[in-house]
Amino acid sequence: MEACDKRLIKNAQIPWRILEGETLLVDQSEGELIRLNAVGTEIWSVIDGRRSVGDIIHHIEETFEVSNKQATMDVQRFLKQLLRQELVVEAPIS
Amino acid sequence: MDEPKSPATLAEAEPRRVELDPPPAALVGAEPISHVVMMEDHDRAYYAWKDAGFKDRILVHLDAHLDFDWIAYRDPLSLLKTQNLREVEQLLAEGSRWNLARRRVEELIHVGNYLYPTLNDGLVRSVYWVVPDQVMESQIERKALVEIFNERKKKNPQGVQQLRWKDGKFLAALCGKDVTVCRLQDLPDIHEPVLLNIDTDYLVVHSFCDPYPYVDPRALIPWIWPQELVSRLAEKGLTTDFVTIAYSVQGGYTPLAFKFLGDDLRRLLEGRPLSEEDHKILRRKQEAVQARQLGKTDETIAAWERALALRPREPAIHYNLAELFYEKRCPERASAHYRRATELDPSYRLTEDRMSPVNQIWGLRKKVAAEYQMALAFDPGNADAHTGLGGLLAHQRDWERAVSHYNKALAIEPAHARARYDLGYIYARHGRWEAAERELMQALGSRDYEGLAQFWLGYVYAKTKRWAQAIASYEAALRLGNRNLPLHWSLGGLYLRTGRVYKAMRQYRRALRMLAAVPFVLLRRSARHMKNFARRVSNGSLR
Repeated sequence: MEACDKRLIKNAQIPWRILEGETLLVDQSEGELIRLNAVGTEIWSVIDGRRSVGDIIHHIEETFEVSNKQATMDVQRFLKQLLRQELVVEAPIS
Repeated sequence: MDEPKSPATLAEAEPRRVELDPPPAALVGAEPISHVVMMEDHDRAYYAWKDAGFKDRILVHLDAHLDFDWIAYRDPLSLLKTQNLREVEQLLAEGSRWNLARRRVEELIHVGNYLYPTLNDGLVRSVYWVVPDQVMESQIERKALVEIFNERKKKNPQGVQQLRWKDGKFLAALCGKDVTVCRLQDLPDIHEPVLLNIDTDYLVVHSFCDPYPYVDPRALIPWIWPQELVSRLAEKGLTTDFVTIAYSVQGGYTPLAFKFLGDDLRRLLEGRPLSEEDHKILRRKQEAVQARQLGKTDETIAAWERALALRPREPAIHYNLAELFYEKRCPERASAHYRRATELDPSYRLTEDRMSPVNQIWGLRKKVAAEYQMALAFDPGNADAHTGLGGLLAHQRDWERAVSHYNKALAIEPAHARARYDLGYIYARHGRWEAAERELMQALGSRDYEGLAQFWLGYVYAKTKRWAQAIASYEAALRLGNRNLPLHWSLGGLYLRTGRVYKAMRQYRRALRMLAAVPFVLLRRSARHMKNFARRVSNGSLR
């Protein structure tokens, strides 16, 4: 589980674009196109190195009107996946 | 498509051929054709057609090879430039492979795939692939022909459709365009001027069952001569305004000794009336080739010398005489003819590509070595011949002599990419990391060796515990299309070592998938090698 105060930034090596509500990410090292659904896109759009994981959970909770427990579980699982695939990296501590 | 370039620009790319304003179409074999463009590499035909501004034409392709394969030309970033998700889906469904190395399209087009952009760009709307007659005459040959299409279908099922036989012809749709494979005699009447595209290897390939590129070094005799081919074309009543002829010597498609067939074809198609002397030369050449096939060296020499008396400045005659005098152990006369041939036409110089590929493919190593020795006898400063000999010696694990030949090659030509790469490989295998790195780094500049050099650099870095550099090199090798089991396995290990478990697992999965595809017999063989290796280690015989 990612600590709630941890901050993440998008991997600068991964070009991406939002199209019709979906995020398309091109992982050139793996030769893959990764598509994020609406919730994934919302999370992706708030990963900016300033907001913490806790902020992102709160944002999803409010945007999609889900419980904190549900939002925490979904966001944590999703961020773990992004980190494993190196689509995002931990922001340096300022 | 780009604006058509002026014929003058085109003439610059292929000197001497193209004039202003295309003339009306000519009846092939009966009327002179003024646009006959000669080229060594057949992919130049694509650029010639493109530059001339052709669109929606019919292509008649006389060739022993289809010259069609998929090009991984699509920039993955184009997915991000689409207007909507449907477009994304379409791009993904097309099954085209992605250009992960981000090479320029021109770098991806070669002699084996230029018909793909030709069809894809709409330069032609249908293709008649005219194959050597024998290729249609037995079931086993026809099966080999169908396999050529099936291989392309495997890579891109959407792009190859409607494979079927009809009236002795094989039909297919490639990129949605009709392709008909047939013998020349089965070519239907075509009522418009065609683009006529001839590869010299069409005249010398007898069977699609021989190892690729289908040239049989034991039967080096054309199955059809240029005179007969042109008269058969004339019988078909074919008209054309543009002919492309490729020699295709490089890569072993047409043996260098037969390059003259392309020139003779050009003379016949250009339609300058042939003199009695020209006819005599054509006959002498035919006699010479037939005598050589029968092993009658003296008769062969006599025939070529009679041809030489009639046309003393034809490089092909000098080149063939050089080979024959070398065989007869007359090195001085041989060298003199070789010198003359290369003075008259430098493309007769024996380079790596023009020598051994076919003998090598057939495993005729003695013949390959003899060819390199001959090249060195003619020209001791031939870096390619030294490199070739180095390669043969390395194959026999005679590392010391191999290295000596590579060093000789590099003393002559310091930028010789293959010599650099091979040396780097040998040093890497022998744990001479610094030397290996130095040579491999220099081989990186070559398009042909970049991927392999990256792979071995990755190996060197891994062995010297420079993990980040090793990963970067292996990743570069992957992007350049070097996908093999050791690479995926090693990269997986490196990811794991650096804590990137997810990426490691993906590489291991790929390696295991490849392992599953290795035939059982190979696994047994490698198990035997492992056993021998273990025995040698325990005996202490392995240094």
